[in-house]
Amino acid sequence: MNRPFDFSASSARQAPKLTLAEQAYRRLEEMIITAELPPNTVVSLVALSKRLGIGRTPIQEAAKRLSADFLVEIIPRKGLRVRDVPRDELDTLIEARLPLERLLARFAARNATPEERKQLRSGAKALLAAAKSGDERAVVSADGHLKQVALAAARNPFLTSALGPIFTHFRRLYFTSVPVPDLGVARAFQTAYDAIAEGNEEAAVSAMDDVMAELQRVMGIKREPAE
Amino acid sequence: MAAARTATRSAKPASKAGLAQRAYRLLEQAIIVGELQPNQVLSEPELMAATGMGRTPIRDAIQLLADNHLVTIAPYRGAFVSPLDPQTELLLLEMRRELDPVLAGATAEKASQEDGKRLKKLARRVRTAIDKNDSATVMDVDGELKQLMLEVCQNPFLATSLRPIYAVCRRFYFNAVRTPDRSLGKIYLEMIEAMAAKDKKLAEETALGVVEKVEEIARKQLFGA
Repeated sequence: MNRPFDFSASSARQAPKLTLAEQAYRRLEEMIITAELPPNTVVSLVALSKRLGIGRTPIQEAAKRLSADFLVEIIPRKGLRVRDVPRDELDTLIEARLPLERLLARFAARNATPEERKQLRSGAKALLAAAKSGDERAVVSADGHLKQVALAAARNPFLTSALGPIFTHFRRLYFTSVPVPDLGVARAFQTAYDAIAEGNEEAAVSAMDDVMAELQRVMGIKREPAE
Repeated sequence: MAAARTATRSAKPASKAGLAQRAYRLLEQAIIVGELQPNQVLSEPELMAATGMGRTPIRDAIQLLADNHLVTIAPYRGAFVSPLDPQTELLLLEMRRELDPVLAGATAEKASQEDGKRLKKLARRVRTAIDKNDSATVMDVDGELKQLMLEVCQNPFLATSLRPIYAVCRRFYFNAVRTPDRSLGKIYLEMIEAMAAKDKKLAEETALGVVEKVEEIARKQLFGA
């Protein structure tokens, strides 16, 4: 199979050197997702700069990106405010996420390199271990890493730009509404990522459907009756 | 770009975003029909002269085209029309198999009475255009329909995902197909009617039918009958 796109090699194969702005973005994103910065918090860029030990300019760049992702609002001369999490956003997110996750499973199963398949297997194991230990931050970080590897492995820029913001918003809603790591979700993820690593497209797609069903279960979303 | 110039003259004064949108549509159309060739470098002064529009809307439009993968912006090289890669078309159609039914279903579910009327009006225009073998009008109405669906579905995440996919698919399809395909037209009309009637299930089924038909046409073009 031809690979029309190969834009993503760096993120998976070797740990890339992150720019300061990128580091700041990831740290702040994680702090927002885990509600270390709770909704409606107002914080100055100077304070964030001190807290993370990263200079003002990269913090500013990161704030701009977070604002483009609808995670914060920038308040002139004051800093930023962490946006509230509208619960009704969840239905919209799920509606868009279901078909895109099926595609992610399919394309990653088809296009992953052997190294990426190894990383998906070990990442899924790490996610389950983190869930078992009850360490929420470890779960957030393992989950974020797996998603990056899977997106890189799918080699589809249309999918990456579609899923990026959905993942961020969903992760945030998930980790604020499900306080204790859920083993059912972690197990379902492991089955799905193993199927992706096997390269079995149909099994990967159907296992990913199960993951989504598990997610909706723990988040208390009513599902439409099966047809 | 004679067509572009006429369109500009007849247009009403518009907001800043409206101007960029109009510039976008003119350039998108020029890319689709091949007036702007793959890999052709986009020069702002030339595009300004050809469209009669100012630098800012042209620049904004180029950025929108880049967001939709129709234009590539490269360091030192500037902006150029993205090359046409047949593998990309098949990849996007594979994605649309999953996504189009969701969009059509959500549109059917969320459509207000007013939206229903707009959908029916678009259906009438498509039907007439197909009868007259008027591919240019089909292309216009298709653009309006997709725009309407992406608004009516009330799902910004779905809309952001699909906008670039549709932009590139429209380029492939209308670049290659110069006379409307009747059997595609039939199921396409059924899909619009289903959404107007708020029939979610039928909208999903017919949306999948549309993608499958487009796929069949694409494969025929790429690999022969």
